[in-house]
Amino acid sequence: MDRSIKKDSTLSELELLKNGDKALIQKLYQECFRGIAGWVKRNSGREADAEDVFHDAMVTVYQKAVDNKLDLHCKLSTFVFAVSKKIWQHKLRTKGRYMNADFGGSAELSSGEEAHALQLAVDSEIESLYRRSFQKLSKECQEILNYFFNGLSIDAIAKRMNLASANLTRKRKFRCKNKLVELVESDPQFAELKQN
Amino acid sequence: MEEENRILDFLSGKMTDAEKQSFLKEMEADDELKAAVNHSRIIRNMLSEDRATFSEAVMDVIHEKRAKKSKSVYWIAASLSLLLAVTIVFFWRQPSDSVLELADRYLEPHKDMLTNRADGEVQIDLSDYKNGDYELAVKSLSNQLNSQYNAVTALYLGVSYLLVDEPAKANIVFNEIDKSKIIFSDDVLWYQSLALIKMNRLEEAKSLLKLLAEQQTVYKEKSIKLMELIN
Repeated sequence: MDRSIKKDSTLSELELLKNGDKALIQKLYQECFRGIAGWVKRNSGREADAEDVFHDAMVTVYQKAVDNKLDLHCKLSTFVFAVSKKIWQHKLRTKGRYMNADFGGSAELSSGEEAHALQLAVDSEIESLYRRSFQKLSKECQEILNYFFNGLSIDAIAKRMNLASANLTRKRKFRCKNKLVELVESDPQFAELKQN
Repeated sequence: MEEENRILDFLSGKMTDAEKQSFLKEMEADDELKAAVNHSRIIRNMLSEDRATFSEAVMDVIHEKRAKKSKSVYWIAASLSLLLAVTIVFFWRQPSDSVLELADRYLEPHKDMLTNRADGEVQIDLSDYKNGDYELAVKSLSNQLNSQYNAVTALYLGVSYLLVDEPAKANIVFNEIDKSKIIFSDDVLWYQSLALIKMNRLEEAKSLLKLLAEQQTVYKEKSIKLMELIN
């Protein structure tokens, strides 16, 4: 297949992905999931693990597309599949579980794309770590951070949460973010992931 | 301006090019700022409402496909059950009325060829049988058989069981007869095949009828007719 045509079709798929197009998600599921499930099952996993892996891969790839940091020459489904494999590989390593299959790269991916897929898998694991730590925060902290990182001003947050002043809200937001970072950095998995 | 707000402006692309270049230079020189930006990037991405919406859309697709798969599994199971039912009906055929009718018509008491005479050293009492009281004959012949086994007594007991409509018991009695040691072996095969037809064991009945049809016996024609109806 002509490489430029391939890239064009991928580009349009990336636009659809950024817009969260459901038909594209269904198409990617159709093209990838059976392969991912087969691969995960051959490597100590179950169908539910494959679903989690597909979900995490999709969300990570979406994020990169939104950040305009995805430059692909391969098919989008090939890349999602590669990221899924890397994510499961990471999870297995973390859990110290048995790996059966060859974890070598895909012939359809360039070495740059292969490295990119690996980086996305690491990003996905790092984010899981943040999510776990976030769940350990108080409800108030979760709420403040949610509002702040979704662009609400300190004044608006104070009003919405009935806090006494903007200054107090700012201090609480500061403490909540520090607490979250502290929880993340104290997790034994953090140092391991940082090395990647 | 608070540092966290600057970080957010940087991450959300709200800085001018000049501000952005200046911020990048600052980051290069300040590892703490770099780490803070990194943390904020991850937290921002994690909490992004757009991303939560996308995540839900992916979950929806996964759930839809899973539900579809379960439905497929259900339909496959239902289809297999139906196939199994059809197979059972096919292989475990009920004897048609005509086979049963003919078998009933052919079921006649075995002729009294012994008339209370001794068979070898054994005296057989066939009085109840001769009187046509087959229930009493069953009791009488069972008692005689219990006191001393005799293949001829067993043949009459089997026939009596058949005549009181107990084909399964008749079949057990016929099975125990050593056909190689009895002059009435054709008779045993014939009555046993009738018992098997009444028990719906048509394939087994057919194999016995085939033996009778291949030989010059009094049961040859009847056996062929029954086999044709079973087929």
